[in-house]
Amino acid sequence: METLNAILGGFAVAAQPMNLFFVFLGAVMGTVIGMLPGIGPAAGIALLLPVTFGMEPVSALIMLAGIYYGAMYGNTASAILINTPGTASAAMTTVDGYPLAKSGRGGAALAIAAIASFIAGTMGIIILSLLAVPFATFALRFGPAEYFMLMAFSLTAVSALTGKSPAKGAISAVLGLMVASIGIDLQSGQARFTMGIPEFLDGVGLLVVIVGLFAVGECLRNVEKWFEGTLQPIPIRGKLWFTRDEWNRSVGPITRGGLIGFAVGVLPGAGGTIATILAYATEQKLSKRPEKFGTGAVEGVAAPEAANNGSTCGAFVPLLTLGVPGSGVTAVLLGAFIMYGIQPGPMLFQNRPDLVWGLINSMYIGNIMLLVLNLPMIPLFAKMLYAPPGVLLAIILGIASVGIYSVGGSTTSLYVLIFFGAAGYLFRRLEIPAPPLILALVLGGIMEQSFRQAMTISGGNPKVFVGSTICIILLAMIVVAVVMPLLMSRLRALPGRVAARSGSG
Amino acid sequence: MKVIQGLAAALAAALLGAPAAIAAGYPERPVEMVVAGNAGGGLDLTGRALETALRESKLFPQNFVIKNVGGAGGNVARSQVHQKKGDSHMLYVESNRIYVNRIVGTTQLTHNDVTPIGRLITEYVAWVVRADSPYKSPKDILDALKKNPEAVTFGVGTVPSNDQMNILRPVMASGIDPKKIKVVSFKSGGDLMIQLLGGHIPVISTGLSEAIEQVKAGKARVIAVSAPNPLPGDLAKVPTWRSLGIDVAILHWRGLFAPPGIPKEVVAYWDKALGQMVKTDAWKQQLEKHGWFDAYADSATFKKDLDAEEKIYAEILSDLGMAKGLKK
Repeated sequence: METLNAILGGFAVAAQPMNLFFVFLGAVMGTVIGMLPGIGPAAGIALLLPVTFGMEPVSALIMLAGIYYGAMYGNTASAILINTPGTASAAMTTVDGYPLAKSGRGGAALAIAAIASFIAGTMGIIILSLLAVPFATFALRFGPAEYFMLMAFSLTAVSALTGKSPAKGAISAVLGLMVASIGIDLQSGQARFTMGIPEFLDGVGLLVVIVGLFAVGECLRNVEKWFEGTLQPIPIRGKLWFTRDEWNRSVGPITRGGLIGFAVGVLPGAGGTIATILAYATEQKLSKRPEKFGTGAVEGVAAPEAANNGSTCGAFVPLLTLGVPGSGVTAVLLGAFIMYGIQPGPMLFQNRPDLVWGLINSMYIGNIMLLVLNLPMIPLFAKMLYAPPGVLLAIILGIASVGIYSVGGSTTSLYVLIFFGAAGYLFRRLEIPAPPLILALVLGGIMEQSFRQAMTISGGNPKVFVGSTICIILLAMIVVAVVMPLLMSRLRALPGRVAARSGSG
Repeated sequence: MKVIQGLAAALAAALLGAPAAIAAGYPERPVEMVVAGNAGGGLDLTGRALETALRESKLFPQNFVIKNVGGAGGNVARSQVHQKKGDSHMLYVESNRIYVNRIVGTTQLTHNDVTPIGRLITEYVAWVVRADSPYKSPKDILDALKKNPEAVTFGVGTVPSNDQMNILRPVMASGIDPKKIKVVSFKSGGDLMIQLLGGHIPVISTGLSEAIEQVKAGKARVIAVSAPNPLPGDLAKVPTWRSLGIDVAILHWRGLFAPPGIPKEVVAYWDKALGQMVKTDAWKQQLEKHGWFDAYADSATFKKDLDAEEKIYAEILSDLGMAKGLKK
């Protein structure tokens, strides 16, 4: 009863006109920040922190949180339309979103993404309200060994992203693991493969690699096609909205993607990008037409878009229940709490229910606002693709460079962008898929560190990796993920063989 | 009219005891404060607390422009400050990375390549165990390590760090080989706390302020703290290393630096201004709000302490084979 009162009180806080205004402001800023590659939600919130000094803490937090989940809406448009994810967690959206746009279904992809974001976001808030404490207990059960197994399971998604040639997928993934090893090694404090470049001490930025490989690489290839005279203008087929069939195929992925996103978001260190990878791979494995993934399957947009919104809600669980940040963005929010003189900790729900529930409930309103904001923009965005290639390609390169430069303000990141742009062009010419590289880059660092952490703690005994229920479940999932495609292809081949025999006989 | 205003200002300065007379004409314009970390982090909070306290106590007649330069473990900010030789209108907030990074070999620059202005605040590092842990005292852990140095695994945020020194120095003082001690890094204090609360790691060495809320909620216990003297208030119960008979004290400080080659008068100006500021209520409020402790040291003492700390770090890290920067 007391909790119910607190929740209702939270709605009263969130519905104050001033706070409604700040939700709106946060949502708009989040959309813009998310749309452009470069400054993501963490950096955006950090930049705005000093401005919020004089504000009421609840209003400030409501606005800053709005930037966080607003960015998960904004990052979609550029990912789908110009193959340039606005934040790293939209990288998976490009895999099917961009082919959809190229085949004239960009409007449908955008609409599905917006609806998926809204449904998963709202689902996430409900779960956060009802089950924050059990989920926090769940997060506590993940030690280094469990993290390693989770990352290993995520890595099996490589097969989902590889396309025709497994060897080329493996090349791409290994290159990703190599890039992941650049930077200061957490366990020894030593610099590895930094080539004397100070910026490399922090590792190679994920977003620079993604934008280079996807956006710049695609631009270069299109320039070549343009000179060859084979660059086709993008047609728009059908209506801008999704069809009933597209919707029916997306409902499952949205629900599952939202749940996976939330669960992964709760785990500190895993984060939105890994959530999207897992959601995408899950849908590809469950799908009746897995071969369509990567060529413009609307499910392939729905699942990651739901997952990255679910993960933002999940990331609030450790922050609000344990007082410990679970992601880069919530780490900045933790700093904000301290600045406003609120000590986040296990007692926050008891000590400041007005603040916690005001913040959580403002997210319902924010998600509605974001849906209303984003839907009318779809026709506008879709028209962008009509721009002549000479203009469009220049704009993409401009957005990519400015965005990347804005992250650290260092020219080194521009050289890295050009390097990976050239690599992206080569990948396209050699038909090496780029997504496995991204996947390996995201997973490689955590996988290596959690392996070494687990082995140090266990004194070098590999039994630690089957030492808990979670580990064993994950191991079983890995085995299934590896073995099932082999079995399925055998099974599929069977009727074919029978038919062939009867044909020849 | 201007003359009268000028006289009035001078009179006010004299009455308030502002150190305007030391460096004539300083400060002429707003001062840029380079913070070697991102907004919302510890260094940033320190810089902003300093700015607030100086403004509220009216001890500094100009504004500050705070510039966050994170990245490369502070090396990016350091090289920017180092290049501004002789610029009195730039300040720089850093931690002990100022000498640690060179020892590890990620940069050539140390505190000798900039001008130490003053140590501002400190936090202390603590050994934290879960509330239900069998370890009641650090002695329990050290006794176990004496029998088998691999008996207990420690968690820290990063290495090299004060978190790590707060393990190795008490261990060495107890006659245990530091090379055999198992220390695992978990990237951030947040991840580390979750590993402790989840029971994946038996003891962590982390900032006292990060543990305090968990202690209040009855989820964790602080069994030792790196403070040189017993802490005030509720924390007086927590044993310091010295109270346990182990001669170790570690300040997890944050301090103020300036570019190299600035005039002596400017350093003296800040010695006076900061010396006055740390006595104000405005500053004490900032310390309390953030859970920091006063550890003010003027430029000369700060420099001396930096040299001493650097020596200890260099010895221990060399012993562990982590001092790649010293071999060059």
